Amino acid sequence: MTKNAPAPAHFLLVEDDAAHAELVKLSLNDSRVANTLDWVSDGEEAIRFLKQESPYANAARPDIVLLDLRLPKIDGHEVLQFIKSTPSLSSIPVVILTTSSAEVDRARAYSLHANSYVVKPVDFERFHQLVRDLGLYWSVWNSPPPGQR
Amino acid sequence: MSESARRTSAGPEFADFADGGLQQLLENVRDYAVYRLDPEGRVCSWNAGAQAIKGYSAEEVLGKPYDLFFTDEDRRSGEPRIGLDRALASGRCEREGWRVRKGGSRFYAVAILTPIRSPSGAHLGFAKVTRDITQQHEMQQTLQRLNAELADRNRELEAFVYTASHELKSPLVTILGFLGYLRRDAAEARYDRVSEFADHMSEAASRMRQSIDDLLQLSRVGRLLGESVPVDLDALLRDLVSVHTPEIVEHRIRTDIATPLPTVRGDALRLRQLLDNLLINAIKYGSGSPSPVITFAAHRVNDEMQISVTDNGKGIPPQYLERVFRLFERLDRDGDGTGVGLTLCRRIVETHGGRMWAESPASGGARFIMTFPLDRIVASGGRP
Repeated sequence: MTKNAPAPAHFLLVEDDAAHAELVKLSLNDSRVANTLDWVSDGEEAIRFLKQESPYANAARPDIVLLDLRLPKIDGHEVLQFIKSTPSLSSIPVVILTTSSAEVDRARAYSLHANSYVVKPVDFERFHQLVRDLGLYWSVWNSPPPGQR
Repeated sequence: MSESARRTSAGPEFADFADGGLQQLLENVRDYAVYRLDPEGRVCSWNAGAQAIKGYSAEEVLGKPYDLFFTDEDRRSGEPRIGLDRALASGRCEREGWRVRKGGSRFYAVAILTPIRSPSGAHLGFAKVTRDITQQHEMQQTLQRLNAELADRNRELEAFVYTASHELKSPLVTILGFLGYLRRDAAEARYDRVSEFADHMSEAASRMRQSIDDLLQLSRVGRLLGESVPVDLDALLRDLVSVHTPEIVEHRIRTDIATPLPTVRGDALRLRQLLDNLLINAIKYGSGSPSPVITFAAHRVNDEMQISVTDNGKGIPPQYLERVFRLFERLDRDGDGTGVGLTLCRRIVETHGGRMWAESPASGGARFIMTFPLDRIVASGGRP
């Protein structure tokens, strides 16, 4: 890697399934790229985290959001809409990470300006590879907007 | 005989036929009202069909304006005059709509108005042909309604398949994911995470089994009802309360049947499932209150019977009042439900011809209301 050691990328994972969150954490660690990950389990918490409301007053602004779509309370599309319509947050890349391959979900996500849409593979090797690649791509290969990270 | 000779010899007979025969023919047509109007729209001839369709005899209508056959709304909006003007302007006017018989009953008609002119072009009046197509109209309406229902069902089915496949795929990701990690760990002779990973897998497998059971149950509820029998909801509820006595006592919940529930004609098993689900929900979400109360009540509202189940727990935020009925929708991640209970309840109520919704009463807590059409109420509540 030709870049000078970049600051670790800070991921926010919005995922209601604790086991899936655990799998993402494990796979991201395997990417051997410096990163930190915060996990919230529903849309309401995600918005509180991004607004730095209690109990997230000291939460750092994430560099990348990994967002599930089917979430309790406020669903993923609504969280996406919130991020992209909030000027201070709208430049954060949002990667939709979901089990849904439905066209309607994909269309809606892109129309709300999702930066990427990834369907969780059921197969372990592919899941593992995917999350590692996501970690590598967004931490190393992708250049963030100026003034961030 | 040549062609022209035959036509010549037919001439006088045809004129005869046109004068008398055609008149006779028209007078006797029964499926169509065929009559004439003068230039101002007053009836000036009447046939058997007109009498059959509109109910008036010739004596009753001759000389009367044809406005008589229109509905009050159409008369007010000038429909009779519009028909005459259009026929005059374009040589023909065809209209469809509700018309009125003698006595006020309505029928759906298709009517054609044609102006009659003398050979010199003077306007003599109008010919009017009306057919009663009420049956076709109603069949068409029914067909349209059925088509719309079918389209609704298809959309519902699509959403169902999509949601169900998501719900079943999600635990598979967990199971195969942790299985993958277990294999990797085993290859490195690492065993410290075996039990943690196995727990995740087993939880996912149980969730999947529960989802499959729920889906099967839901698909059965969607089908036609079992035999409709009178079900005494009041007795049923008291029985369910006694079944759930351990939880009710544990959480010190007071159950209150404010007004006795009615006896409803329906599927006994499904109605039990309905009340049971609502009672379990109210116990689960109402027990957070310092002095939990679950209230059941039945009221007649207009042409339906409303039954309500109210708890005084933490309630449902207004933006989720409709979402709680969606399949696999869970407001509370920590709850042990799969998000099928209320979907099931609503479907049971709907298969009984009613509706179901949730409200947030001003006093706090959550209220679930279901309605039953009055023709399903065998007896309003009342305990001996």
